[in-house]
Amino acid sequence: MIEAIYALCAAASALCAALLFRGFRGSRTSLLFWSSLCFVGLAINNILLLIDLVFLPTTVDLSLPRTIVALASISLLIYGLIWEVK
Amino acid sequence: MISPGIQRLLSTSVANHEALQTLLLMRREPERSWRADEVATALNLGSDLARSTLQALVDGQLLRVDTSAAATAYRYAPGSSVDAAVVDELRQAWLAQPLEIIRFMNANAIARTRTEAIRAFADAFILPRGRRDD
Amino acid sequence: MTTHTATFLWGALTMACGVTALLFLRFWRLSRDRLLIYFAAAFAALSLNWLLLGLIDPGEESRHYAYFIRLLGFALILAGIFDKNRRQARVPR
Repeated sequence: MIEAIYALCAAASALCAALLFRGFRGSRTSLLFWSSLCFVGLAINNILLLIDLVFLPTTVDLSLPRTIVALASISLLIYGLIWEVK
Repeated sequence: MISPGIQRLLSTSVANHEALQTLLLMRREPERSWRADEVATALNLGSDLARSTLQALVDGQLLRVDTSAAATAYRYAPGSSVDAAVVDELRQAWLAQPLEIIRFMNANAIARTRTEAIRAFADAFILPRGRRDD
Repeated sequence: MTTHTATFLWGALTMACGVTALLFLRFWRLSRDRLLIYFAAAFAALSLNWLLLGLIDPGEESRHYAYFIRLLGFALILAGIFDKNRRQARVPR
């Protein structure tokens, strides 16, 4: 059940990343580049979450890299939303 | 004050000054088919600009491509009677209060550039040929 | 990671997602595209997700409830994409 939730979150992020990157290739709008990077990062965050809590033993803790990836991703999006939009 | 119908038209299908002049030109002689180069000469536009403007008006359902002519020609053909009425209204308004119309269109153009990046963001999520996600 | 680092990062994420939600709200007001409201709501949900993780004491079981909020966030994004495409299909432009 929990695995399905994380997997769905990862899939949704990946879908957004793919659509935004495709949009960037078409329109060359920088905002789309940064936001697609953000959703790639969120997808990675969700996949790491899935791996960490489901597959890895409790001795290995991926929470630091997970959370840093998430924070970096959102930061990229904020950068794009502030600087790349007039 | 511009009527809501004209405002809608100017915000959607007749988005720039070339489109407005082209539309008014075609409306003046509704029976005639115009080629892109004829429109370009009449309005002193580049032929590429004339062609893209004409195509945009076709997409906005105000003109029709005339297939009977040998070369690609366009003809005034509003999609609905509502559109026809609004275009006639626009004609009157353009004669009576052109500055109002220009001011409105300029404000639209500014708003449009401001939201260009955001619209690109939103439009990126239009799925190719599909209507559903998943 | 230590509780200190965890709480700090979750706090930062709460704020970052909150700011993002506000930015999407602003752009919705500018462009009037409903999709942006969905994104604003999604990031508000993600912000709430990190907030709950930061405030709830690490008991693995209760942590999982925060992840339902995360799911809500991504579900809102998917709903927004669905809604956008449905609107697009009705207006042929």
